[in-house]
Amino acid sequence: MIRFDGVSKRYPGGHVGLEQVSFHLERGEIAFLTGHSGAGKSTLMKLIMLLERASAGQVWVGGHNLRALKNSRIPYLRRNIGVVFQDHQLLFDRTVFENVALPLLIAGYSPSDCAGRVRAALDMVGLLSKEKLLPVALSGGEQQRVGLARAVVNRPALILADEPTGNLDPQLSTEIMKLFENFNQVGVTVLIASHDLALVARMRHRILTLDHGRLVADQEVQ
Amino acid sequence: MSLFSKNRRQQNGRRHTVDEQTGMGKTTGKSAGSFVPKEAHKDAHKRGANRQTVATLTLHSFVSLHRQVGRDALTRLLNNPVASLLNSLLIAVAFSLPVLLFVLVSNVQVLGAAWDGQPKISIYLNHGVSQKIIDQRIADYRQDPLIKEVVYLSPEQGVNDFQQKAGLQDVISQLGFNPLPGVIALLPVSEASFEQLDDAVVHYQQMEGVDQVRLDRQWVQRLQAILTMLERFAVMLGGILGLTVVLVISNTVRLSIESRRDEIKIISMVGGTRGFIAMPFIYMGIWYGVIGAILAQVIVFSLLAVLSHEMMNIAGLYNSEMVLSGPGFGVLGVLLLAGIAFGVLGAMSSCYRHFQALVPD
Repeated sequence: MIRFDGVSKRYPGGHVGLEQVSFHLERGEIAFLTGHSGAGKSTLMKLIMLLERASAGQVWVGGHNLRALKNSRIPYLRRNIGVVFQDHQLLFDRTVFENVALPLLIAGYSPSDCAGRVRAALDMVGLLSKEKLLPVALSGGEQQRVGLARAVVNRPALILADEPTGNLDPQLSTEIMKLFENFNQVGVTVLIASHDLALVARMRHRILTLDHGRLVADQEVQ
Repeated sequence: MSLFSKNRRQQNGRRHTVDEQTGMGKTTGKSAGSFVPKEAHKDAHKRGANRQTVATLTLHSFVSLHRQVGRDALTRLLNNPVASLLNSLLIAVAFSLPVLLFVLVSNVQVLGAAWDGQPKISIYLNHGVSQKIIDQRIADYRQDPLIKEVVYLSPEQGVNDFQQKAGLQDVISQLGFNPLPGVIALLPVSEASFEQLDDAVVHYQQMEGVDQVRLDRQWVQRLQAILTMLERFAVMLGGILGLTVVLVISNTVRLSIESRRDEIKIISMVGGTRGFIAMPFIYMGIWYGVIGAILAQVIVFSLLAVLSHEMMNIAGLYNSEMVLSGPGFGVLGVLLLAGIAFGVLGAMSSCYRHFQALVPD
């Protein structure tokens, strides 16, 4: 699903984001991406979503070489990727329901057709009763779960999560991670960036470790 | 588009769920929520590729999306009434100036066409034409129902007039001959239209003994020229002020883009195309254009209502039955269309410039 082949990302001014990173994440796999802050976790995520393009090397997502993907096709790539952020990135002037429905509207569903899918996604994260609320009325953990519902509502083949538990207490973090495992069990490829080493170790999945832009460890499931 | 699996089917029906093998139809909407138990795990990989649902953009979803986006855009404007009204007024003023000028010009044109002043026709006769033919001509013109008065000015009288007016003596004796032709001056009836007179001129021109026919209507021609110029000026003014409208809308949309940059980033992140992201802003431009055009019509009609009294006075002085007419439906329609076009143009130019920085393509 994701293949990095000697990928480097250098920013103007000489800062190195990634240096010669190579790995392969199979379809249906779940893996963690760890490393200290600034190690290149977010850069790696951005390259997969084409928020940025690699300076060198090849990135393959879903069998497509991203180098060959035209700018005009980028939105369609992103529709196949569900993303979850540490800071949720919700629209605060829209209700929980409307936030979750956004990817469906973008994909061309009429508003009336979205309802079933949106409710299913909200049900999955346990927020069905809060669909009419605005995000400000929710707790941090609930907001994160809305973000999660939005990421899966269009049934993407790949979910990327950038520090999804960054602001949550251990119990909520474990709950969120359980949800990711659930998605993985129905065949979704999941890549989670996290610097919470204890949590990552507890989950017992493949762990990719970045250090100063280099991939220093790739531990398979113990 | 099927980025992740190449065998996605997309036949009849607006969309359909591809993973029929688990029996998850889109109507249940539950497929994402109802997790398959563990034993299904081993072929989960395969389905992972196919579990996307194809959504084809149908007319129905297209229309309902546009309707919703259009309504949202209007709601946003109405939520901020003072700022929106000021912007719309700016647009309305820019619209109303050329329209007012255009209305006034077309009114004066009507005034010119309905003018009941009396042009004069001068018939210049050939040199040495006989008195018999001259008398015949005079008789012809007297019988013409178009002509009210016929005055004959012989070459001798003409020379005398000229000598008196120019202060010259004995031109003929110095030149040895009289250079002036005989002239018959005709005064048409007041009902005669310019078309009729033009026809008469052509007709007179062909008569025996007639050298040249002049229809004296220079003042009308001058008026027409001035009006044509004013009309062009109105069009030019319309062009310049149209540009102003585009810039005003473009700038307003820019501010809106700035204030909604988080939203733009999020939509772009979950796969919104530039067109999708631009849509609410384009609708905003359209609404500004339409509201501006409507306000402009209000302004034009109010000003004309004030002006019409003055206009009647002027018409009265010219003994003319003239009523100030407002812009017709054509002008109003054009104004509305221009509002929409300028709105789209302004919004698109703004989106084009500012998405460059915001939408990470």
